[in-house]
Amino acid sequence: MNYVRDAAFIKAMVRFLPYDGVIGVGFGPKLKKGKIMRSDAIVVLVTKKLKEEEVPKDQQIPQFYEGFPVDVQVPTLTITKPQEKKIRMALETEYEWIDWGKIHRIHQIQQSIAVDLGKEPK
Amino acid sequence: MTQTSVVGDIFVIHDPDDELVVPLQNGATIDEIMAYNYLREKFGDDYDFVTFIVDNESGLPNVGHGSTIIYNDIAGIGVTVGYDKRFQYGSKKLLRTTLHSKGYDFNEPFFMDIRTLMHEIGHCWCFHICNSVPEGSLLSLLHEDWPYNPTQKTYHWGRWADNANSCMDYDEAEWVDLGNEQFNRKFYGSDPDGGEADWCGFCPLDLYLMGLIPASEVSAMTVVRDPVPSISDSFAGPYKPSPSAIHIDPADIVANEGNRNPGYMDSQRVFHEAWILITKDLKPQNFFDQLNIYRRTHARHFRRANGGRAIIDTSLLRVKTFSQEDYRELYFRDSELSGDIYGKSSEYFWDSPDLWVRNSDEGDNPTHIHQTPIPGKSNWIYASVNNAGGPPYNNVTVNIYLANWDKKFLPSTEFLYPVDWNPNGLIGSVTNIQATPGTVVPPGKTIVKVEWKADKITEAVACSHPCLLAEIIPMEVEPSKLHHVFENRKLAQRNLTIIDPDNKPPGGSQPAEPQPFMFAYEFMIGNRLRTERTTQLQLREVQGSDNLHLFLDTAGLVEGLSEEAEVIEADIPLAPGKVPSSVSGILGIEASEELDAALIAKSGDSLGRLSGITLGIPANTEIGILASPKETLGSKTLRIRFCEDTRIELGYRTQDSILTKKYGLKGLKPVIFNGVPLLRITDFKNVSLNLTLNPGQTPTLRLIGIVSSRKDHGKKTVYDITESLDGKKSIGGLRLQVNL
Repeated sequence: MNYVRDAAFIKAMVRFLPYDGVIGVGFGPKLKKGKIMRSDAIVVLVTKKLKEEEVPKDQQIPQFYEGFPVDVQVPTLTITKPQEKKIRMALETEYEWIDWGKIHRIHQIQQSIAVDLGKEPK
Repeated sequence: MTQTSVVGDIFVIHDPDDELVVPLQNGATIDEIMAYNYLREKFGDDYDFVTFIVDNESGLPNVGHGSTIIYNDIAGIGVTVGYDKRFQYGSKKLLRTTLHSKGYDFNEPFFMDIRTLMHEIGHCWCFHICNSVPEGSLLSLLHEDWPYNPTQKTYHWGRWADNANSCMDYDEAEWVDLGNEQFNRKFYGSDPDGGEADWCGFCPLDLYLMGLIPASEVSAMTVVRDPVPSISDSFAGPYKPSPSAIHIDPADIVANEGNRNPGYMDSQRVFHEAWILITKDLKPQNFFDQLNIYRRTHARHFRRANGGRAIIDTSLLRVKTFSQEDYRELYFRDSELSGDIYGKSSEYFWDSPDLWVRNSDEGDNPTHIHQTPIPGKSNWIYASVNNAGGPPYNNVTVNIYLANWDKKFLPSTEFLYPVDWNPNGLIGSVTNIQATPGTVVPPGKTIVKVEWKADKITEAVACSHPCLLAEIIPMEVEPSKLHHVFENRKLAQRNLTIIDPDNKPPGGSQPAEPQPFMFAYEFMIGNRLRTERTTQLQLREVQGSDNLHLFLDTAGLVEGLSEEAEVIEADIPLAPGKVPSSVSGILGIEASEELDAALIAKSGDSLGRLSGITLGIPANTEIGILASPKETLGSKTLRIRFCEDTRIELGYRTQDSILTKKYGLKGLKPVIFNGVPLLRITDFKNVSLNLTLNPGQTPTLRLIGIVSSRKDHGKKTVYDITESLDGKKSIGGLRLQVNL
């Protein structure tokens, strides 16, 4: 068991999950241009990557956390094109660390905004 | 407006207005917590897994395949202990949720493939180990190589490792060692019909991580590193690793991750999974028929793939809180005579009255008496499902098994669920049963039958009288670890062997007069998963006869038996190495005064050994008796000659014999019968002995019976043979009926 990593991961969840746009925190490889740079990174899953100046200062994600590199990733949750490659599992999406509670809250906010805008709430 | 319904055991959320859809910047997904809440409101919170099938063909997002950890308390599998998101679902049970798109896939004739369903559930335990070891280290090779989505690398086997048929990789291939450091690669993923479903499963390391086998059963992992040429699905080989294959010792993996805790004896074995279909369309009935078949196939493959060591029940669990039906009120009885209101009894659980064999199809109203199976023809196994609930319960399944499929179907005492309800021993299933309603007293009874086909009833099977095991699906939620039949209302076992000399197979002839006979009844004790060493074997006479004489062959587990034994001889076909057995299991013998004399047990317990020394005296030894030491031996000297080899004991009588002390013998007396060391049963009211077994040992014992007189012809004698670990509570048992 990797107690140090697990402790850092739990702390990272508590810290980063409340941030706007963060929909999951996990651990896994740190990627750069699709290549694995480190295998033991804290992975922060976001709906969209933003420039530094677009993120409030108190919600900025550091490059390292508790001694582990932090990798901000936009997970693949939707398959948009039919896959030609004949490997079924290549269609596996990246749900492992998705925080469905956060998705649920985003959904509730979307619905309340729709109500505010006078649209039929879904 | 979202609406829900239930079709078979599929919970359907009809969502024409995308109420469950969550648009995100990079696409859209489903609000699975909202969907889960719909399920929880109707079917409770008793599921370890929830599978959401998103009908993207109806216009919902194509969510691909994926799964999410909700909770983990298992150490040693590479997942953080204490990870807990159950509160988000309002759940106390969930372990993992899985998402699957319906119908998006290439090649698939219908829904997603069976392998993928198993793969996503498998992520509950696999394959997160060694996911943060340094790149290039020995253990990192388990995840090499990885030409797919790099974010998925640390959760899956790579292509280099020989993980046999594991579904926890992407390559759908296995290595075949050709020797000389060369390997072929068998690729299974090209089968357009999903035929690889029968091949894929879990490899030993997967099974260890799932908590289903000990680490000691995992052999070294071969890694075909840097194979030449490069891996291609269209090239079978040979491949040559460079510079050579590597073998990873499982002990190194355990050292890196720590021991799996809980281990295989305490791990969860029974899981429940709910299927939720989310669609914008109204689907026709045949759509749901297919989906329900798919659901059951998934459950069947999971069980097959782990060797029957764990099960997933994919039923929706109807309980009174949410409906009139209650799956907890479906049950099998253990006994008619004892037990709770559901007939569950830890006293007598091996002879369920709700499970029996008839030699022919007796329709829906069979005679409720168990018969010995007759080979060469179809027999029928009947089961009676009890329902203590008011309304009928729909979609019930009954599965019926023969125990010990890998041990020639020999009867044995102890069975542990689910391991012994093994898919390899499955005789048949009845699905879509509507369980008749009733009350606690009396319950509704629904009788179902399974054909036990002639080709599965060899004479050997019929004569060994295999134990019948049955289960009701929906399965209980608890107990979820290894357990006995008396701990679970949904289980039944019928361990009844009938020795009946008059029940000849078709074509057998019947003597004009009932003839004395003998039999040797073989049975196993222990269980391959038992770790305790001491067991107490007991025999209880339920109904006896003075004309039946029983002898126990302990298969060498009682040592030193011959040293305290009474020697008896009779002209019957019993000799060392020739314990009788025949196709019918019964041998006719001749009545004789000699046999009658031999079978009369001398009163009292064994005399036991004297406390001093034992002298061995060879045959023809003579002792001369002289009046004084001055005399010499001569022809007139009185002599005592030992015509046979013999032994003499010198010493004092002890209170108990050594055997009695060592093995706690009660009601048993050592004998050497025609040279065969046995324990004669002398007191049928109180028979027991303590035996020591190695962990996992399942020795075969024999009960040899001799009926020297048929004066009681037609009478039935009944004996229960039980095992207990503490001398009190039985953990296993079987019943022997001998028709005189």
